Amino acid sequence: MDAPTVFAALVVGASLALSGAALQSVLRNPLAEPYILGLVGGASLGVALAFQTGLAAAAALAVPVSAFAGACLSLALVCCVAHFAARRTGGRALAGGTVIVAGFVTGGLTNSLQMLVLAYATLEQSAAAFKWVWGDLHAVQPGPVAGAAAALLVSFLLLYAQNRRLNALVLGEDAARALGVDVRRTQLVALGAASLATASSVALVGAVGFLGLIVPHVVRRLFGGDHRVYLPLSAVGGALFLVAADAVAGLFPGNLPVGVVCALTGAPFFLWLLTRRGRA
Amino acid sequence: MLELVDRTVRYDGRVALDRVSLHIDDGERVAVCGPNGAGKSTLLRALAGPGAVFVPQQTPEDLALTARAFVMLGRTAHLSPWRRPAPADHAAVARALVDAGAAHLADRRLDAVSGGERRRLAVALALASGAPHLLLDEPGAQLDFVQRRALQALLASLDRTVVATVHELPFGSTCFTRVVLMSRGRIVADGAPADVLVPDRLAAAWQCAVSALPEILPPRV
Repeated sequence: MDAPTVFAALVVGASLALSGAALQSVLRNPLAEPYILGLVGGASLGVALAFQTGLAAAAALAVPVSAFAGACLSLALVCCVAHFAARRTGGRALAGGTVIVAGFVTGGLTNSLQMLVLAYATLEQSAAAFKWVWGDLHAVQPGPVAGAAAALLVSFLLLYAQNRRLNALVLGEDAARALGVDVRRTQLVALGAASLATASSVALVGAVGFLGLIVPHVVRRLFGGDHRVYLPLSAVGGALFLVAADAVAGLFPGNLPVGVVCALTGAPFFLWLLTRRGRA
Repeated sequence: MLELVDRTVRYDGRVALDRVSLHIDDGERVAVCGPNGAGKSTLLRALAGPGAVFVPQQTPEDLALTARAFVMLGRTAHLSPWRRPAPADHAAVARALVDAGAAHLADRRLDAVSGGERRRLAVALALASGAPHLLLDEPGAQLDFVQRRALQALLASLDRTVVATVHELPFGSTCFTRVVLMSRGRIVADGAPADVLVPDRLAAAWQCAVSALPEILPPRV
């Protein structure tokens, strides 16, 4: 592992875990995660579109910017669907399992749109997009890594500035509002920061799933749910997790993408969580 | 003072509060009663705002916080994200824990306390906020009658306005000085407990015959 690879693993791991921590808090759902909610799919679609339209060749920033737009759009779609479904059933907005189902469907939608985009691409365009979307930690350049690190810093500061309000939100929206919390603003800032962190890491190394699910869970279990501790430790834990996962991937022959190791550990963890929640 | 004037609240087209007007003076202790779906919780949420802290019926059980950190949530408006709580905040939390009879729980984790203890901590959270008006949604839910009486004694000892939705009619309770009876999004009776908790009014609120009431009425003395 060379220095840019390790640095990329640290930045991407921290970004995805931070994003997962924020999503789990705001949506009040322990199953929320950037990959499961379709944010990664939306960002990947943005990357594919940037290559297909030739924007990527015209401006280097086009890839992360369209990844961010894709992540924001798919998250907005998920939140809208969950919001209206919750209103119809008289439940509270954004809460409940609806948001997870909406995320799965949005993820499927963005994946097939991405396939559609690539189906009409020339061989060179699709090869370039595939290399990016399914690319791994070992193809990164120092410049983009520094950009992703800057995006991580911005989203961390945005989230950490909400730590008291996010703590109060666990009481529910009405109670938090009565305690002086601007609920909508807090949710929007946190969701925007989660989208930014996810998009910058997808633009850098492609789709890495389930990391944002596991790490915040373990941190909350070990260190509690106070966001002053929970947010920074999730970021640190995610960074360490992805470096370790990349080291594990390196033990196997061939060029095994680190996302495979994350999914192989994360998917069983997700299923285990589902059974635990069913029992409770 | 808490006031609603001609307030209507709709959830997805369904009227939950129907042109309700209500005036509550400082220091009153009001029980809001009525059948399920009468609009009791909606009334409480409508009253919530600056100076009127709302404590929901259920606080998350799996919250991985200590009781002290939980009560500190009441201080949210006074806390900075970048600094530790000031001595004044710690003092307010400590005083609230004592006033709510929950000082011994301070260092326990919230997922390791009983339902009654969690209700006390929720009251402590409301006290720590410093708000003069407390809006409690079903504070006695899931408590046995001894715990419920203890909680009512606690509420009666506070020098704050208390508005609480109650599921069981507060017969013989000295805690509440006033009862607001709701039905179908409207206030159908409002006054001293002895004047409101009478068969005719309860039958009207529940829309059943008075003869169906004996089970919920206290034995005649």
